[in-house]
Amino acid sequence: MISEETILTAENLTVGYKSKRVLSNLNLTLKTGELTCLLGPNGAGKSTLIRTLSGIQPALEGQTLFFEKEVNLISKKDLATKLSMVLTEKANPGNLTAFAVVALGRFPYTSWLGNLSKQDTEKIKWAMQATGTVEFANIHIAELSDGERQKVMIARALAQDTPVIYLDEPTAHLDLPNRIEIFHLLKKLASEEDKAILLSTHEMNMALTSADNLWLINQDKTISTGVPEDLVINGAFEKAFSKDQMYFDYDIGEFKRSLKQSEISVCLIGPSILKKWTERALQRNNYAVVDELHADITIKIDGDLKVPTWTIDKEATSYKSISHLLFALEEKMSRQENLNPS
Amino acid sequence: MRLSSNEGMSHNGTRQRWQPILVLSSVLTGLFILDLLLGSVKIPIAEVFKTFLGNANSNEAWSAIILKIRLPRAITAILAGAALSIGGLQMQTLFRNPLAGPSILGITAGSSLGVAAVMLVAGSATTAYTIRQLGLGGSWLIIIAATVGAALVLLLILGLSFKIRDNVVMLIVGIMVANITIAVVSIWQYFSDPEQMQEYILWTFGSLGGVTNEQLKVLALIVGIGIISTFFLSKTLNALLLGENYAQSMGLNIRRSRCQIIIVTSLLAGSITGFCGPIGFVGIAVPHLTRSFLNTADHKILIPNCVLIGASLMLLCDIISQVPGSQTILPINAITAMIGSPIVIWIIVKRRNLKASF
Repeated sequence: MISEETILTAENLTVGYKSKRVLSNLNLTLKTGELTCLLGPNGAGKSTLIRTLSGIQPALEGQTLFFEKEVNLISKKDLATKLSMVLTEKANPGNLTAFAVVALGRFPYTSWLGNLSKQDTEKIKWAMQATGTVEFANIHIAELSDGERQKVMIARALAQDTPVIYLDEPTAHLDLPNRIEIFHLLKKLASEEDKAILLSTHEMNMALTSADNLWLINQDKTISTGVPEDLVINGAFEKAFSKDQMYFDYDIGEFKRSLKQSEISVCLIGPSILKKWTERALQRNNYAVVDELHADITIKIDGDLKVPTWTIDKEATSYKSISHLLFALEEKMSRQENLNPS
Repeated sequence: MRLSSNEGMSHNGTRQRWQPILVLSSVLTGLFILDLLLGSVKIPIAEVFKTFLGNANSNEAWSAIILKIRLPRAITAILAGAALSIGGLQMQTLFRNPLAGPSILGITAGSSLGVAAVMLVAGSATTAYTIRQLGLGGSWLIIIAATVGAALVLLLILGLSFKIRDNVVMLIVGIMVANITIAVVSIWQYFSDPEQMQEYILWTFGSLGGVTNEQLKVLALIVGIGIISTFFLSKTLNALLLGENYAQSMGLNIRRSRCQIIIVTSLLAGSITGFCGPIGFVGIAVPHLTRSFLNTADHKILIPNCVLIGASLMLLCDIISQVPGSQTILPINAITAMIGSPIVIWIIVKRRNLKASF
């Protein structure tokens, strides 16, 4: 294992605006070789913190030491050789090819005309190979999909050749496969290239599975830090995201909607995989899935994944799809309501 | 469409870079010669060439027309076309807005205000005509007035742009500032003598012919400095393509870069406006035309080609404005708009890569 080096230390940091403190009393460290996820709900202050840590926005209190220097005092030119960024905003760099966009990452190193030296070209090629964007080199950035474009922007940050990379919600506009790919790529870059990568996101699943380190924004405007699993076990995770109608399912590490009073309880019998998906459909439709003793209705599932059937309360008819089952349940409920209007 | 190859990494071959420049240079040379050949007075082609080869001309008046009227006029057209085009290019990149140009954000209106201040307020003794008679001093006065006017408006726009992040809002604010400036000029006109007003109105029609050989040297110097400065800014302009935040994260000093771009643009647009009057459309149309044809946004390639296309287009407009074979000369401002507008429409409809640029 490569020796970890602390490159950023924030002490008693308070960030925000004159009129509003966004996050306070933060003590944070960033280390090389680690992917750190800054996790918090939308509007929690992730971007504000990243702006402050990159010296764009002054801190209200405390200090941020970046390579043992106060980040605000480092010249922008110096900083650009130590820190590169990927931002939330969708860059629209005109009809530039992906290669040209990545080449812009060499900005701090090129001459006044921006001509690329052999070394620059090598770095650009390497960055595109590391991110799997070589095949887009000659394609104009506007023709790429959002995921491909974001990978090009990460390649641009890599080409900037900095020990630290901040990414502000880099997966915000992406679909799930692309999100997984980007997280995987960043994790790989952190460990293989020994970079310190800070990534802000509101997606806890991705952060939980990928991050070496988590900065979790709490509801009281502080940040808990630690290995993701520690934060789950000590309850910080649940506290940070808890809302009235939500609870944290410790089995699968996901938040779920709490049950409502008026729900009808259903018991499921059958193969576990079919039970699981039936349960999801039922929960979405306001049925509570409980054990046999407390159930109003029992649903029996027969068959396998190829030919499943559902039967309600030993009725004669069975249903071939969840869609039919839901329809039948609804009918049954409305019949019951008509019989005994309460 | 997608060429997945490693040769894609060898980007922008020199041939690819020089080919359009060579083609456009030939077009420019051709139009330049054509502009010298054609005009209100019919001069045999052989006589025109004779004048330049230093041979004695059979008609003194002809060589005077060629050397004192057509040549400065053609050179002015080249300078104006080049200056306004790269002025527009810089504004479009700085504001990341396809409708930006030296005139649309009120920079030209600022120049007009400066010139109006000199022409209308300084009193009857210093009308445009008399200023031009003053020679070098007078041309400096107009340039300074136009540049100061342009710079003031641009600084105002810039100050506002620090508060405004949205490009569309910025554009609307720019147009409003232009309107305010034009309104000030209108009020000034309202209280001016008809004689002074006529001078000013004539100036607003635009003219490539009003620049003397002496003044041309000054104009050429300023435009030359402007073009070279723009080329020096090409790295900065390229970085701005990713947006200000990205540019800043790469170590670009935003405030300083903005200032540089604004100074260069106001120098280019202001001086041309001062000498030739407010010439519209070239500044908006040519950058689009250049980007569209070359299919790139790299300013190192765009700037020289913008200069060539802008100069060529202006020469073409000048040839048309003289209505070859007739005695009439149409105002250049009307011709650029007449040619520029269809070009803008054509690009928007025909070339889909316009939208990709912004």
